[in-house]
Amino acid sequence: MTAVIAPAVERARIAGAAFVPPSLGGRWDSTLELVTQLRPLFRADPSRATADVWSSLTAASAVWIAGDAAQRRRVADLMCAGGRIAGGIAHIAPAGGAAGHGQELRAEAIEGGWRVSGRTSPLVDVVGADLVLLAARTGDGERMLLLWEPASVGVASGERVATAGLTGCPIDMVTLTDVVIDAESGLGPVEVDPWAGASIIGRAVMPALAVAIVDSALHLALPYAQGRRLYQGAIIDLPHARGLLAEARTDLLIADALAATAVRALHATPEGAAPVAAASAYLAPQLLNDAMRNLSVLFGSTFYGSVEPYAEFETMVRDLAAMSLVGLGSLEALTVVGEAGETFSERGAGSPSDRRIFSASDELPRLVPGSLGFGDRTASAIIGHFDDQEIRTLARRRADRLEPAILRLAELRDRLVATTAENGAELDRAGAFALLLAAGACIGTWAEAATDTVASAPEWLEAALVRIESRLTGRRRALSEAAADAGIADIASCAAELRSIAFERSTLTTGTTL
Amino acid sequence: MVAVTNASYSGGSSDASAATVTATAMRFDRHLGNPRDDASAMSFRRSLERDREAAFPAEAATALDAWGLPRYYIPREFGGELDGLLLPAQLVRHVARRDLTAAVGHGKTFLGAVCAWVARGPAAERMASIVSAGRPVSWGLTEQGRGSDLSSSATTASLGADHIVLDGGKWPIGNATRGRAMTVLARTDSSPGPRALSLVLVDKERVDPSSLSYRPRLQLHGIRGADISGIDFTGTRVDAGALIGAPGQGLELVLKSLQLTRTLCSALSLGSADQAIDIVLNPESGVDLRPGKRTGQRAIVGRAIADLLFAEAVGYTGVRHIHSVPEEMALESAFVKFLVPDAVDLMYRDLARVLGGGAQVIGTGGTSRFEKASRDNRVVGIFDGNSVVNLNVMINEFPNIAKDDGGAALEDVIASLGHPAHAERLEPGRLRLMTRRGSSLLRALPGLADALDDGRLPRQTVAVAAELAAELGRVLDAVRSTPRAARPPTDDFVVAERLALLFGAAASIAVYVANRDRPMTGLWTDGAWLRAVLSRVASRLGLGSSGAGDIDELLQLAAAEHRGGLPVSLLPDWADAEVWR
Repeated sequence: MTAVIAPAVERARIAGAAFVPPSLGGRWDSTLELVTQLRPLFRADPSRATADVWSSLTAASAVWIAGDAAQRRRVADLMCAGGRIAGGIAHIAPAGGAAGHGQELRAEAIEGGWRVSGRTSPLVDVVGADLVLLAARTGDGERMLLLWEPASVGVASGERVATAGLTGCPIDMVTLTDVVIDAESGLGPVEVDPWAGASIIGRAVMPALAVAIVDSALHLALPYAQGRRLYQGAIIDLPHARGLLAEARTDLLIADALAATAVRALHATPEGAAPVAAASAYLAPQLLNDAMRNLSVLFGSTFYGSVEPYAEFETMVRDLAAMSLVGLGSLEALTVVGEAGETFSERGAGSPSDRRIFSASDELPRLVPGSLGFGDRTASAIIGHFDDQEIRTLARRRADRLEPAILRLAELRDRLVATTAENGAELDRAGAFALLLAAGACIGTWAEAATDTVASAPEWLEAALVRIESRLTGRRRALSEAAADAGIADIASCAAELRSIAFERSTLTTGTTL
Repeated sequence: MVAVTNASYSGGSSDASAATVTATAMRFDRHLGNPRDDASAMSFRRSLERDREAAFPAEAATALDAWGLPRYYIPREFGGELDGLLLPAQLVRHVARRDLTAAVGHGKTFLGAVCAWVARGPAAERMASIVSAGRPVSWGLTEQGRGSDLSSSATTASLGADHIVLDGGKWPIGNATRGRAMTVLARTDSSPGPRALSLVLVDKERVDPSSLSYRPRLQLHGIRGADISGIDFTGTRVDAGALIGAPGQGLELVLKSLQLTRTLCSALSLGSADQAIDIVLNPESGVDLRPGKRTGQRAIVGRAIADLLFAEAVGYTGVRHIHSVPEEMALESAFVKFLVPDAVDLMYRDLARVLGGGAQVIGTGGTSRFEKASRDNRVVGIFDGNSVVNLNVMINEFPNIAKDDGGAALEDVIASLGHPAHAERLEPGRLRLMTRRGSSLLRALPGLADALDDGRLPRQTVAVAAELAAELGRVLDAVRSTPRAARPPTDDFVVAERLALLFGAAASIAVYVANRDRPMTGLWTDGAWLRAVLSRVASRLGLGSSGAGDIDELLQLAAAEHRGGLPVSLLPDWADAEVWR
């Protein structure tokens, strides 16, 4: 199937300036603020939101990291003026399976530039893009990034990749034949993974946005549970149903705490941001999908049959699962966590955590994309956070069961560190470190939370630590009746006040402009 | 007795010997052909196209009817080919491993008919004639707004001297629109209580069509081509002979029939699991399972295979126990219906991680079958009693499970699971609504664990089995100390889940012990499958190590079976390797 890439189509978009650093004339000052502004889009339409966000975030980030001054200027000016850059995802194989092999995009050096031929990796929302960031392999096997204007000389044809979820996010593979790109448009050569720095940003930001999908789902689940009659009562009166809802809310909050920590680490501890972002990219989707699984059990055949007025839930299930297209849940991310975990095993926590990565109110330094790295100190410090005496004292003071829960997790961590993985069980061990990172993020988020905020309440942390401990030990423990009641009361209060359930507690709106 | 001419069908036989069972299953596999061949009766390509169109897989249904599959839904005493349930389970699995939509859509007829087999009488003969004609039958149990609470059914059936009049509606029901007939659960007595409901066979060809109206098909998450719709009855009149069982016997018949259908549903899950494993083991998937490469992928795929075999051991046990211990099926069917779909759901979740974004792509090549198979698979855990319903059944059985009668006779437990299965008959009269003492297999876990200690398995595996047996003791203590509650707390559900996993462990060990000296499949080499399965169960209970070495060894054996065209299965001789090679 071939199709000529169509010219730009006018439509309302997220302003590109939101993804441009202030030093280049844009508004990307705080990534956490960016997440807060983007979440309403993901609550409303994850498909469209992914299309709008992914390329702008990751393709542009690659240019901020790997481009020279002129290239950064070019892309920044384009985006600030309302233009668009598209980028790719490396996480799916062509639908034809092995058929795509051998057609990898190749760049041949010619006078004044490059001649590019072959098939691109899947590109997000490429139709109508002003610039496309391509990854190509040169004659000597190196990878490079190229900025391509689709209107340039050469022939291009595209093949739509149909997906089970995020169906409103257009993904195309483009075949280029002798497309000429000038030398000034080449960003390479770059490291083996062309998206290194950009992937750190993507891994931190995308899980934080995925939280919004489950937030919406919980808002839908509550009225369903309240209205659905079963056995002479409402479903919400059944202890098991209450448990499902409360567990889903708890998993959302764990994911939120971990994702927010990863986003803050981009600014506060950039050299060590990668393992934390990787933990979020791997674990947050699992937590969120577990939450959706709970809710799908609650909805039952109403979910499976897309029964109104709750049919939207079925779309949310597919959309969340499809976030794997943009790397959420990837095993590669888990490998990064595993390496950080082994460093902790060998060297311990090192210095204490930079508390700014947990605090919603502390001012953070500006993001310097070029300084993002794979250092282990941030992750180690988070895993070591359980040992902080101030934290333990605070826990002891505020709630009876918190300190014992923290101590039990510390003990599980110490047991993990004292052993080595069986051959073939390395990723299990890495998964355990990811859970410990999440626990550290939850404890830090709670400890640094301003008083009278939901994040400062011990009940959610206690529930979160129960859920994490269950996953670490394999011995499932139900939330207590009191914990379930508190969780449902919180969901209900958010629904009544039209607020998100995630910690930011933003007012629910149907749209946003940036 | 309904007379059926064998000449009408190209498959089946009236000889119920074990050899005939395996030969029939193999013949069916050959009839369906290799689904990778676009010209075959049930090709993957066509099933994907039908799914995209949300169209019923009519060509597949025609092929199944042409072979004579409906005859295996009818007990021999009513003129069909149904003796033991293992054969229909294997036949349904053959369909499901090609297309779950077709398996559900066609297999629904067994669900629609089964109450008649349990009740027997004139309605059974009437039902047999409908089913043997290849016409779909539905099971009209649920109603809008009432979910699994069947006792609150509002559809009425007024019993006259020579007729019955139905008013009300059923929704959502499989094949409600395309089916010829429906077994309808309706209220025949206005007073409350379990004896107020009866079953009526509504044959659309024998009623005034203007008294029927239909509700639209649902837009489904998976099995998109299936007819899940609704039907309304307005003064629908049938003759008195359409009553299935006695007046007021409806709920009892349904609950007993559910013990059979929930167990047989395992075949749907197993076929679905076969699809997932076939996809990831196929070189086209791009999954790199070479030793030393991406060890995370190897471990996950190996574990998924262990989950499949666990599910198969549990499903096989359930299907055999329908015949040997029908009195325990009230509990055991709940174990099977919870464990098997749950294990396969877990498989799909884990394998989606291995495939990454590839698990989301729609198409006709590579891994693109996975997204349809994954969506389809989720239906099995939802219909015919979802996980919560089945866990509730287990909780209601706690007082019976808690009774201590000193353990079950090991020889009896093992004898019922030897393969191949010899002639078995359905004896619905032995089904009970509650067990007397829970599950004899579950109680036999300590003895079964001891029986593994014969020097053939590594000490580590014997130790894992012993730890599982010890855990049973602890869980039974929890069962005994659980107070009865009208609305069980969440803790009870956690206990029930642990109990179910321990039942699964017992089933796995029993299947192994019963067949360790028989020629089975390559996965039995040095007890490989059992070692991996027990490690996996222990891990899921938070008891043991990952068993990484056992898992990896199982993966290698399974990959070899797959390369030879065989399904990854404990049981030999039900699938033809030449078809799939």
